[in-house]
Amino acid sequence: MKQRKLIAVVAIVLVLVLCASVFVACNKDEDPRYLATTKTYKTYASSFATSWNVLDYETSDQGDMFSYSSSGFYEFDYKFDENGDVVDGQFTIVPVMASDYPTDITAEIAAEPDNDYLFDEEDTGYAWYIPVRKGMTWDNGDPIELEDWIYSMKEQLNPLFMNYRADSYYSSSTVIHNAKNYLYSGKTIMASDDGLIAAINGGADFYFSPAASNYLFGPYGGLASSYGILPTFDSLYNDYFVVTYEEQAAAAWEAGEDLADGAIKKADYDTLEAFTQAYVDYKFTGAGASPLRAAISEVYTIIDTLTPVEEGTAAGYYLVTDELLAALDAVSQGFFGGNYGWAMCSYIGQYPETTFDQVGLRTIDDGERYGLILILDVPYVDNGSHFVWAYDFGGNWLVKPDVYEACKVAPADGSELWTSTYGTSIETSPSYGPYKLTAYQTGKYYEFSKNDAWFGYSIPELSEGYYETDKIQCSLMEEWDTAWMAFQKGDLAGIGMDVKIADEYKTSARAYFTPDDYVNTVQIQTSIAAEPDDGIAKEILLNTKFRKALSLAIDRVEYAKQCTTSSLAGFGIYNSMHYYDVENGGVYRNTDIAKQVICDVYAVDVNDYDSLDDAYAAVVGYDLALAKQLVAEAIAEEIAAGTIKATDVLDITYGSSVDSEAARRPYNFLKAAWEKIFEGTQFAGTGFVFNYDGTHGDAYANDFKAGQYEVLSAGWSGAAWDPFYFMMAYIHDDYRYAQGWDPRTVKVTVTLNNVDPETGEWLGEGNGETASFTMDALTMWEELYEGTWAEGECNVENRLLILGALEKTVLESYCSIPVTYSFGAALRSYQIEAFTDTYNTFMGWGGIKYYSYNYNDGDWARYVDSQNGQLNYK
Amino acid sequence: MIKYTIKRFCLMLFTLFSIMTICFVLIKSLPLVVDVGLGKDAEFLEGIIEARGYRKPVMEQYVTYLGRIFQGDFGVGINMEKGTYVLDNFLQRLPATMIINIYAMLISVPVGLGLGIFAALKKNKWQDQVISTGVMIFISVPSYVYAFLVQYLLCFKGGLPLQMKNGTDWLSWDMFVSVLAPVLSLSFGTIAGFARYTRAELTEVLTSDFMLLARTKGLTRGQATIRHALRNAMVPIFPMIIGEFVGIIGGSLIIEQIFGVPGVGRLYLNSITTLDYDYFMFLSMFYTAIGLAAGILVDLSYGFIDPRIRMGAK
Amino acid sequence: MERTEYVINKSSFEFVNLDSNIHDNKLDTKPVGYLRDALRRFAKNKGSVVAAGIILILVLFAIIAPMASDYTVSFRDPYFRTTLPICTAAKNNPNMDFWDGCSEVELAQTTFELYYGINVESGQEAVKRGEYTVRQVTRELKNNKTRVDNLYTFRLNSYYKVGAYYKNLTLEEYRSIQEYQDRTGKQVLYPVVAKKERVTALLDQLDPSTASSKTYINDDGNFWYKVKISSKAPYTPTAVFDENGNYINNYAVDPTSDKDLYTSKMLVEGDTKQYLYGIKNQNGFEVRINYYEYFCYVHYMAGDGIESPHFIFGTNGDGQDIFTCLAAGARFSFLLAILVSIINLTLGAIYGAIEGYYGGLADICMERISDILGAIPMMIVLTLVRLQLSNKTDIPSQDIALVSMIISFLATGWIGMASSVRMQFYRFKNQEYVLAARTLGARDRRIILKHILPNSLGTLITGSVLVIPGVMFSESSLAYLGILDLSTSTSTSIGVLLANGQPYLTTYPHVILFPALFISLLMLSFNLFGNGLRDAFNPQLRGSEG
Repeated sequence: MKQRKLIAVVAIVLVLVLCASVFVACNKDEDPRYLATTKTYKTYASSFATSWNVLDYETSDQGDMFSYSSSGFYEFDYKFDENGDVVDGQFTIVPVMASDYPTDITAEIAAEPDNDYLFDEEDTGYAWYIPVRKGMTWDNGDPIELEDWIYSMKEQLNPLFMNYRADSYYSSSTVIHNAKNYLYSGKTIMASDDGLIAAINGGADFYFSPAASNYLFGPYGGLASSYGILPTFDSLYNDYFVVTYEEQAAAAWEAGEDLADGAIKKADYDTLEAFTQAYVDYKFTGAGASPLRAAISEVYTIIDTLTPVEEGTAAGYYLVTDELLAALDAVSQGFFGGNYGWAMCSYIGQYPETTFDQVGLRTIDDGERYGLILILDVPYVDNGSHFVWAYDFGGNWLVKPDVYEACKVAPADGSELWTSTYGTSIETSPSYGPYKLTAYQTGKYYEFSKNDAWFGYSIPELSEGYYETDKIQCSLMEEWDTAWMAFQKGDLAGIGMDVKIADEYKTSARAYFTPDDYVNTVQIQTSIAAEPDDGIAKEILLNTKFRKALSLAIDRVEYAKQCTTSSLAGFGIYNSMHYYDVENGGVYRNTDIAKQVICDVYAVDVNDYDSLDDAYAAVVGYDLALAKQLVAEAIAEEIAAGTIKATDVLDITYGSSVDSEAARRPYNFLKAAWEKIFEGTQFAGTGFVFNYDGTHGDAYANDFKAGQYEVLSAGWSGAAWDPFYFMMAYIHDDYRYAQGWDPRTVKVTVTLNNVDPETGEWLGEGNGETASFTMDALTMWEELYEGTWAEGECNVENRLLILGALEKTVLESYCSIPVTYSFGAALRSYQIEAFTDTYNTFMGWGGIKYYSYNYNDGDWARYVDSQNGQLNYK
Repeated sequence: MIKYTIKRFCLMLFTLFSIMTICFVLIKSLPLVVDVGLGKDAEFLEGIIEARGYRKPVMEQYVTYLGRIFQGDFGVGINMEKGTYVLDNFLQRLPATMIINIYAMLISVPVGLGLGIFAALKKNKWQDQVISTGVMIFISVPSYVYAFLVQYLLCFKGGLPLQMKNGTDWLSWDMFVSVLAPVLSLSFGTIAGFARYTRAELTEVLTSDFMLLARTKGLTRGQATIRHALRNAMVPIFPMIIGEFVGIIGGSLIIEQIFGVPGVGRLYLNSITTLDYDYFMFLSMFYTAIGLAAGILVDLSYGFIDPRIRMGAK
Repeated sequence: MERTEYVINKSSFEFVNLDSNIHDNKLDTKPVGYLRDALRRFAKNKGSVVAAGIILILVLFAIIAPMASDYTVSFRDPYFRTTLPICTAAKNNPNMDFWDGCSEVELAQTTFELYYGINVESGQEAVKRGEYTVRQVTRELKNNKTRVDNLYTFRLNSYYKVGAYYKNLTLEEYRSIQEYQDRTGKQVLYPVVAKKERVTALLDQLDPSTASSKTYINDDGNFWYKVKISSKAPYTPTAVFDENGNYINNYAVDPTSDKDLYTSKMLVEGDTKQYLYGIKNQNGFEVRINYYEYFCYVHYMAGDGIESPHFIFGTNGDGQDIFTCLAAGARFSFLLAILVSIINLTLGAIYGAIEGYYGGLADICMERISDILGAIPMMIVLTLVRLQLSNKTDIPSQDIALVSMIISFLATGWIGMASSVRMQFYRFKNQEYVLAARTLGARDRRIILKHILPNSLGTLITGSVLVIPGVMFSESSLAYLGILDLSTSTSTSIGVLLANGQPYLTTYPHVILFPALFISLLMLSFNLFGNGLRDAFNPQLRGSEG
């Protein structure tokens, strides 16, 4: 009796399941889906944003959410030739929310009475009038007022909220006047800028801290370390002193003279080495030691007697007593030759109390002009193509004031930060773009539909013949395989081509390839403490020849095939996507300067080939013979210098953020490649231990910079249109992976033409002369980025020469070894066609505005069913 | 019995509080990393963390956190579910997980018990072997493997939709059809678990003396099994059912990920990896409270099922 | 009525054995101890004996297989990734289409011609037996134009499909391969195509902006024949045939080139020493090698006993031989799981026994402790232990994952066992015989060990035996969710194999098939074995042949 009941239960359930699936399958002909005439762009994401507040967003997921429901002041558009065809690689700039291109009103603004602007009447590019269209409305019909932009910028910089995007208006290419002062208004910080003199003269207290003081005692050691007090790094010591002393000794030895006015007599020494060593000792610890060493150790003895300030802004600093000041003066005497002890101190600086009307953004509506006035600290250069406006003002910081006010949330106790629920649901996401959010289910899907109230639809040049898409539907699919099945059932407009299906689908008619500006590099650690007798030869990584050998041991063609899904062999910091002259398609990598750099760095002699192009094409970046030779030489050098022993083992670690099959491929490849060049040396066989450590998670970059492991495969992308700015990632202290390689100590020589030989200033075509300049890499980059050779101050040819010299220097340090340039491969559904068949650097594949449809939703459903629910994209 | 229940309830509160404290200290001990991208002002990013009070000593943060909880403010997400209220977001996602697990329970408990009993009765006969092997297959293959097979065979090749339907009309027919695949994948595991456990318990009970006595007293085989064997075997099985019920809230992370179920499964794992303190604390407390409550229910159920085990008796 | 008396006279009695003394004859069967009885009962249960056999086989497989196989876990071939399994039988018998390293595929014209080209040039049957069928399919294009495409169905050999590709060799390697060719008569080097003629270069002229990315097709090596490329996107290259339908080779012919030091006797068919086999470059020579033969050459020179690529269970996504990894992974997972289950068993049993037996206050507090420990999410314990280990101690990084996993399992693993033991104790604690033992003055320890524990031994054994596959299971889910990866360059585990196999389920199912089969077999046998053990150790069944 019991079993019969159970069997019944099981049977019912199974029948239920069967009829459900049958019901779904057979219900074909009178299917309502065939009648739909809308055109929906169905896509998917593997992770979802739950909030998309334009003022506070961090990730690209969040950025995508409001890209459909907002418009920029200007946007890129295709360039058409006379008979309406798209001109490849070119662009035009179209005003969207602006009614016309900005006009430079620097002179008019500079004339304002007692202003604190950083420019005057003669300057250009600092102040701009942006004309704004009239009659624009939000999606619910409320008008968009000029004041809305002021309100939005005020909220963007609101110190109570500390919105994540606030710093993009003062710390990158757009620097609005007083934006930072408003954000930090009244905040106290320890400063040592030119306000220091005024503060001290005004009798304010000033403080000193070895770690935070200026270059002398700074974290990079400065002079203090060179006297063995802070043993952080000694390369400065070598350059400023030992090198000079060695040269002096060698010169004296040749000329047969004595040194230090007779204190070191040439006759007393029979070898140059002994003579030099004696001279160096004399200059450092002997009678000739400069007073600097004593003064610096004196500063430290005084500091030990003082107690640092506990908390507040000056926490960790020492209040400068007269005794300490005297010691600091002694140090400055030894170094600068004057009593500038105070220059090494800091004072409690305070950001000026700034109200928003002092910030460089105002409205203007005097009947004749209707728009915004923008006042900058760093000038914009608009040479006619208006490129900079679409690049920097393609996005927008606009929020709807009444909705934003309602979304403000007071800080919970324990925190001082206000938060906002703006942009977390349909009601809190007002739209002023072509689409508006019409459905959102957390963690599942969202939908945008046409925003009929968008002003653009009534403006022919903005929307005539475009915006065929009625709806955009995006669902969350965390597994690629689920998305792949959905794509084959016609539920998705496109999908990335995973390596698993690459063989079968890369020759598909619907495959398209997208170049990327990402350059993958192998980073070699260079901040390594010297421990000669720990049995491990890590110090050899400091030898440039050794690192060059590591680079030449990598067969980049094989690396691209074995370790990545879609990439090509890569040799330079920049690939084919980095434009130095965006307007007329100038790619840095294709210039002769750049090609010459690559040939030099990878030891390919141009004269062996008929032309530079042939030589460049022959670069393989892989030279086993040379690599083996360099390894042998490097080992010999280091053993001679005593930094490593002949019995030492090279025990280094490859670090990564995650431990997975794919993440280990570069590690396995490098292990095999380097083992090959260590054959026959002390690092052969068990002499080379290469560990894998995938426990670093998101902190992998900081851990590498802190020297926790020796090899990392990482890379930089971004700023594809400003390679001069992008060099910062390889030179600037904050971003550079190679913390042990100091650009201050590396000399770079460059020969420029039409320049003033002293200042290097560009004097225009035909005048000035050709002169070469040598300076340390960091200074040269600063001059290139914002100094004498900045954009607008110097012609492109010279700037390229400088960029080439810098790229060569960075590449020849072999700390960041480029290995591959990457690109993406994907498949597009039969339902949709892109605007052009070729990739356009500025427009990409056109985006939602330009998609055209072969089928509307109804016909598409019928077409898919006609292929019995499974499409063939082979 | 009432006195005992109250005692256990107070104990539960104490345990809950100690677990909460340990979790708070553990999550706060994981390092908080500031990632400076190109063109970002590092000082500003550090300032944000300062302002949120995350650099204060842990105990001070804990006291303020407790203060906030008693006013019912469970905080706002900072990294993972940025800008959303923890409580609202959780309640929005709960129904999806509940729907899937309730359907799975409705199918798997009766079927699982039925198969277990049937196998036990037909011990070592061919039915028992068939059921046992079937059970083994589903227990031994990881859930993400057969969940994927179900999706491939039933949804891709068959007619069922690939993922759970968009929208919040939980009880509509389309939703039920879209939910069949995840429910089936979820219930395979539970059916196998119940069947194996019931069979093991029941076979042990069937061979005990009182069964012999019951049959000698003249009870039919069926009566003896139901009245005596089943009741006695229920002692370990009943908590499993309750445990399964607790599982409902937790949701199966893997099934939800594969079938696009907007449930709560993923929240907990993400809150740990992205160090979203408010989400992590709320979810830890929620799951622990449910787990402990179920624990008490299980202990009480002993007395109810088997009078001899009066709780508290020596 | 009287009684009659029977008289039996003495003589009808006789002494049985007057000469020897009578005693019980020796017991011919030895006393049946608890264990022997259990063993006999265990042997009765056919299922569990078979299961024990299977477990033994699996353990032996884990121990012996790595030694028997030519490959090791650290063997990784970047080009033989997700290669299909092949057994020696299928290798020798070309008509056997099962387990033959081939799979039925349907491909577009360009790719089919490429594979067929390998058949023609190298004789390696990428297209098995050169057999294929064609079907037409119409494509819907922009503004409702249509196009008819050919789709070719055939059996693709996953070993030969790699074909040839361009590789940089040093001079020594170039010479050494030539010597190998002459010695073994195998063609490794094939004539190169001039750089300007290669597919990548042809694409460059058509569409410079994305051409560099078109080299994604990077099968330049297999385009040894003349092709024409459609002038409109997507620029697919298709073969040009001569009048009788054969490929036309596109080999570089450069008589003046002294750069080519090709002296090997092995020449491609139809070559009268006019084709170029290597182009000089910075590193030495760019040559076109057939990867299958190059694999044999590399291992021939290394002398590691591998004649040709032959993977019985195929290879996984990283190019590792699944057969060896499965065995090594099994060995590692077995040891780990047995270790964890033994410790869990002892800890859990002790904790549960005390808790269950004494009840009352002890039970309440211990229950709370295990509640608290149980509630702490294992994920956090795992992350925390890993972080503390990685920066505090100097344990090598690959062992950190293992140590942190063991610690997090042990921290909370035994709670499950403890609660099941506690439940058993509740069940038996008030049984009559325990009461009897207590009245006879047995001390608590004796009651626990002698009376209650053996009774619950059945569930205990089943529980602990099932922990073993359980540990493997949770390890595989942790690997799948990306929380923990126990594999190092020289070792791997079942959990990792399952997790890494999952993404290939629909494309290359063999990658997950064998680990899944292994763990199912393991689970099946462990469970039957567990059931058998439980019945064997169940004292109540003693004597009854039930």
